[in-house]
Amino acid sequence: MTSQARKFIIPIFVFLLALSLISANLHSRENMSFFESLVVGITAPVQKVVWGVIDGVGSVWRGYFYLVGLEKENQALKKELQELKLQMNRYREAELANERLRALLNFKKSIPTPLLPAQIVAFDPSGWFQTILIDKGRNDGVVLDMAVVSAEGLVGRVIGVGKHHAKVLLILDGNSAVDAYIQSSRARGVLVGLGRELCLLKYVQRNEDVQVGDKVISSGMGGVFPKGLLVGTVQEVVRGSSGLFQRVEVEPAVNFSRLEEVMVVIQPPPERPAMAGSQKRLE
Amino acid sequence: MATFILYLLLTLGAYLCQTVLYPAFLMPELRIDLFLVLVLHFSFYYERSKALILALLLGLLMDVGLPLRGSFFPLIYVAIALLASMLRHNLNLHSRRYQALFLGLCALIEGVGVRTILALQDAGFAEAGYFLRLLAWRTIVTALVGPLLLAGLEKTDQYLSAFTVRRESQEI
Repeated sequence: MTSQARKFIIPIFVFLLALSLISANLHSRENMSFFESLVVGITAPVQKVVWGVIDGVGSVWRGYFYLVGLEKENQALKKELQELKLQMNRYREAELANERLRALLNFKKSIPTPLLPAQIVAFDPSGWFQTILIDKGRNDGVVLDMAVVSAEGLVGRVIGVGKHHAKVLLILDGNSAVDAYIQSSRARGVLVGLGRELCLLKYVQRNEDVQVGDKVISSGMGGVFPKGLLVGTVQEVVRGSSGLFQRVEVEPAVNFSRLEEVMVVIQPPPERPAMAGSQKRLE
Repeated sequence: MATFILYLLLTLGAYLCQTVLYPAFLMPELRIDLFLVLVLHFSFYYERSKALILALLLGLLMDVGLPLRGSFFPLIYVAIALLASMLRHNLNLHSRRYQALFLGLCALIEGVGVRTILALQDAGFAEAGYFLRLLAWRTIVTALVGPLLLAGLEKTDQYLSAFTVRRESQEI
């Protein structure tokens, strides 16, 4: 092959290869490809170590240098704790009453969903999306579409699974959608990410009562996210002069910039809607 | 061989920076795509075929953590590498001022490319106002800091070639 021919053939070949890669996994990215698994397998241990070092440095910073106003914060927290204790007692009473009623009505006691703790290994490399990589995968029982939570609230859902790692789409991403409702008024909507540390509760009707500070809870519709999980707090409500819906901005309950550990909700993935033919056959 | 190992380490370093260090320390607006800088450095100073292959590999690497359906980053990087290698003879891309303009333009192309892909896939994306602000900031920061990083890579190349020449002369 002459050098002149090679000059053209190689760029054309690389360009065609890049084009063909687009269609290679266009339909499904459920399982990580061989290349993805290889890259994650090699880089994840290093990322974990680096993340550990950053976390350690952060802990030292928070522990020793970031103590300004600690006494004030301590007093406020003590006061809050007292209030919470009172509130907890009331809830405990309500829970006991609920249990008695359930027993009376012969309701099946719900089994708590098992949770799998996982550590964050890395974040999205491009900066245009809101995804994380966690250190639990198929071998640990993680499958596609499982919900990921933290002690503070809802984090996201699994969108790709490798042998030992999984990719999680955060609720902050524009591609994420969570069916949710306002706790006080029960107004329903779909929570979508805005790409930054803020979400938008879409399709809340204008006449619904939504106030700043209201809690937003997952509805459990769709089967991916468990019902009753705290998603966030209403930060801003805008009712325009026209339109069917109001704009409800929600601040997520989870502080994503300080997120280090998450928990995967180990429950069977939502069932795909069955075809009419197959339903008939089952009948 | 030394060049290959060095660039492998630089790529790994850039990947770690983008996946671990950036989210921990930097605001999203101040992030520079280090892979883009590597792609452009290769396109300016190496053969076109080498630059294109590196762009393809870096694109695949970038694609690992993303929620996109289909690998689009290889195409974006290959297109940018092709553009850079075609323009390097016609424009004065060794001038830092031109480099700044070109890097900013490439950052802009990358952002618009990602947004177009999401629109084509009918996927959800960040709010327009936030996206435009992010794009503007990243373009400016890339244009300002990118040439410095390119200068660093040039120095590394010069050091490597001087080191190779010295070793060969010693062997002789």
